Amino acid sequence: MIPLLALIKKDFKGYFASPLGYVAIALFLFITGFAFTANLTQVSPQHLPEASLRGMVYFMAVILLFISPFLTMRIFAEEKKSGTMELLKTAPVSDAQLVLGKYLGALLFLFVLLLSTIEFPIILMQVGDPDLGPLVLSYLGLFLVGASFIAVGIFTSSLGRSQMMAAIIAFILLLTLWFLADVGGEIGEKLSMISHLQGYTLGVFDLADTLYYFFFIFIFLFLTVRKLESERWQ
Amino acid sequence: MIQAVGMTKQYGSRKAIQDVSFDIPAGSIVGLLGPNGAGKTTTIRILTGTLPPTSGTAKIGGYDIFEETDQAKRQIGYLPETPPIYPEMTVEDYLDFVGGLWGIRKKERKEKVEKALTAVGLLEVRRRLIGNLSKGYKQRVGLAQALIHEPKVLVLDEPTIGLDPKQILEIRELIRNFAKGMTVIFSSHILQEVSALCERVIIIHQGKIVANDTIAGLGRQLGKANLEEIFLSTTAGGKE
Ligand SMILES: Nc1ncnc2c1ncn2[C@@H]1O[C@H](COP(=O)(O)OP(=O)(O)OP(=O)(O)O)[C@@H](O)[C@H]1O
Ligand SMILES: [Mg+2]
Repeated sequence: MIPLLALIKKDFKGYFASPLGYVAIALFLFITGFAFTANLTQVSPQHLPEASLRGMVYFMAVILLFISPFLTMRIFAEEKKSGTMELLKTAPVSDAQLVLGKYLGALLFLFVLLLSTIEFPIILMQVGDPDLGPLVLSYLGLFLVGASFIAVGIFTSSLGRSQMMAAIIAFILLLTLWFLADVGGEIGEKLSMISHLQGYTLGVFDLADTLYYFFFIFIFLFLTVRKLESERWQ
Repeated sequence: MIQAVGMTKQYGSRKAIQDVSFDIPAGSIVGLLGPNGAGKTTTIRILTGTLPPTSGTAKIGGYDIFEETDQAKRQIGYLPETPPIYPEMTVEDYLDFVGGLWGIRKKERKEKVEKALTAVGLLEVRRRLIGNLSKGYKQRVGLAQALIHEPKVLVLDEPTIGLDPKQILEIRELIRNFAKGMTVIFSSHILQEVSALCERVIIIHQGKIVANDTIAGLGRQLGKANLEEIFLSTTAGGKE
């Protein structure tokens, strides 16, 4: 438990030790804020503004998709490159603890990132009377989707020493898994990350969707642990 | 205390080390000598459990590093060839993090960080970013990291490499002090360093141990006057 907390703290604080964390938050806020404003203020007969984030959630998820590989690329690649992996391996910390600690550190940052958009629902509540259910579930959905992106990124970061390669492979994987619904037929639709988000945006909680994300995250974290283990024994 | 048991490491078809065995008694300080590429780092990594051997094993304080990994690891403080530091952290935060990795509770951690800082003379720079420290001070941070959990065994891979003469002497002095209470093995290819710090040497050449004795004993056996001659005669020959 103590090593886990140490890892979470170190990796979370790491986002703010360089411009990375600030830039990510600023960028995310800027782009989504822009869309939020447009959504509320561009009134036309076809588009009447409504007090909900429904139109925004997919957009925010896509922005997260593009930001998250930058948040995850260094997680293991940098430790391997700079030699600090040897420190992590010398301590009596299991690979599962290592992966979980680093994952939770990144999740904490994701939480802060999403929290930075809290003014959107607050504004909605001031100018209108939004349904709270869909709002809360939208954020839950976004968090789960983001958590899935990070699981993929942490896996690709464990593959080698190059941060750039980690980010590129993460992009390719994420885009594939995201758009599987459009090209993969019925199975693609079931496997795709995008199709499980819909319920949340509508305020419908479906356990199957939540389990999908949990399972998704588990698989990629499991693969990461296996990758680290294989390095210990090769 | 530090036992290598028939350790062999093969990279592809090349053997980095071959059938390396030795036994370092508790309380001694031993230099692991060898030319570049001899297999010093490979040996040390296997001893510390950070690299699996192709065959053989290591025992630290009687614990097998691959069977009783946690107990064995707790005996070892390890400073790798490149100090495993995070430049964007302060010295203090870094040591606190390493203490956490070793499972030390927050309250005790403060004390232990203090102790390690004092032991390596880092008290004045505790709030500085590691990235801004000189090479010698970074090396001290690496040493402090190895000491934080109060190990019985200290394993140092070329602890003075790349330092200026003054820093070399300072680090050497620190190692000499640590050796009073711990079993120490360090690798080096600086002969004066080894003769200054220890009586016993293990010389490794092309992955094999070619000498393992006190400097005096080896001198007598080989009819050589000093460590330099011993080193040259034992590591002569073979492909370069
Ligand atoms: N990951 C690796 N893959 C292939 N060969 C390796 C690897 N690591 C080390 N070697 C080889 O194993 C041999 C021993 O290397 P090692 O690093 O243990 O030597 P060393 O004595 O520490 O040398 P140095 O004085 O340069 O630090 C070398 O010939 C090296 O090229
Ligand atoms: Mg070496």
